[in-house]
Amino acid sequence: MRPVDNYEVFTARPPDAPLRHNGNVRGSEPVDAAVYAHLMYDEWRWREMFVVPSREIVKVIRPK
Amino acid sequence: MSERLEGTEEVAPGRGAGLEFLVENDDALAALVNVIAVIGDNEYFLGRRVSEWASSGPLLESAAACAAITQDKLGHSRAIYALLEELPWANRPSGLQGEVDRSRRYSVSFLDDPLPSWSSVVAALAFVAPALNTLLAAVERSSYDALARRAHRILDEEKLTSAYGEGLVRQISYEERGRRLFQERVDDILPEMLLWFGPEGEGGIEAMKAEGLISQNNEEMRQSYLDRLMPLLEGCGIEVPGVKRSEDDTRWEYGELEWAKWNQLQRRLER
Repeated sequence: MRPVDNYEVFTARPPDAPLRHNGNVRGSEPVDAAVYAHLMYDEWRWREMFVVPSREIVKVIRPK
Repeated sequence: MSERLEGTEEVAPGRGAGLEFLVENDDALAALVNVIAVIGDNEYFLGRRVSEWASSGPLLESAAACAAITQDKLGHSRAIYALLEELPWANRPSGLQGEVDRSRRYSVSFLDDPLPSWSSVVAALAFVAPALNTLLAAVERSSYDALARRAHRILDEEKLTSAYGEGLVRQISYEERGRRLFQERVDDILPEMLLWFGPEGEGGIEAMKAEGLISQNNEEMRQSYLDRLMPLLEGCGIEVPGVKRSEDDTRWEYGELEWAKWNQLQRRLER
């Protein structure tokens, strides 16, 4: 099977509301992750939605 | 006697109150009824077959996507079936709520039985869905406004599903075993899908085109379909024997199709 990466999903709904972290999806490429995020986190009509490769996120403070 | 409040028919006409669609050409109207039944049944059975994999896709994400696609497809079929009730045509097919509601099916034979493998699910989404979208695009500017509006809305919703279907093809073709299994499904389904657009110069489609009910003829739709499909298949190393660009690179050539096995009314292979 084609390798999959983890992607974090961020959304915002009300006007001027900040982005919030919704969860994550796995996908083989960014477009797959975007499709999965759109299909799986469709509980609201989002104003914005982003997927970010988890490995690109720089951890500043790590849990002990 | 109308049950609506007196005077409201003028500002909010009820179903059938002055909305009946009229077309003079009976051949065009018969073909229109057929096309609507064909779109509705294929949307219905595609949704139903994909639903059977909503708990067993290879990833949690793909299973959830199957559930979402099922919801979309069944919704599309209901929106399309409603048009059958409004067309002035005797003995028109009824919409399906269940698999055995009507003995005559207007869906491709590939969807007759539950899909036996994930490669079949990928083939159904990669081949049947784009064929439906090709037909919907051809009626998106139909003179039958109710159909045009629904086609436009469905195509808008389909952008995501199309991307998903293409992603599944890339996913399954990544390794040799998946590619081989998918290749078997391609060999099975492609001949039927090429037939699905009908023989060149088909009377009903020509009559619809003359009435402005559809914008493309059979061959134009088949070429549009191959334009969508072939770059994806070729990019994934899937072989499509017999389908190639013409020497002058203006069209797809696909050899002789087996029209003897084709049921023109139900737009499906006789198996």
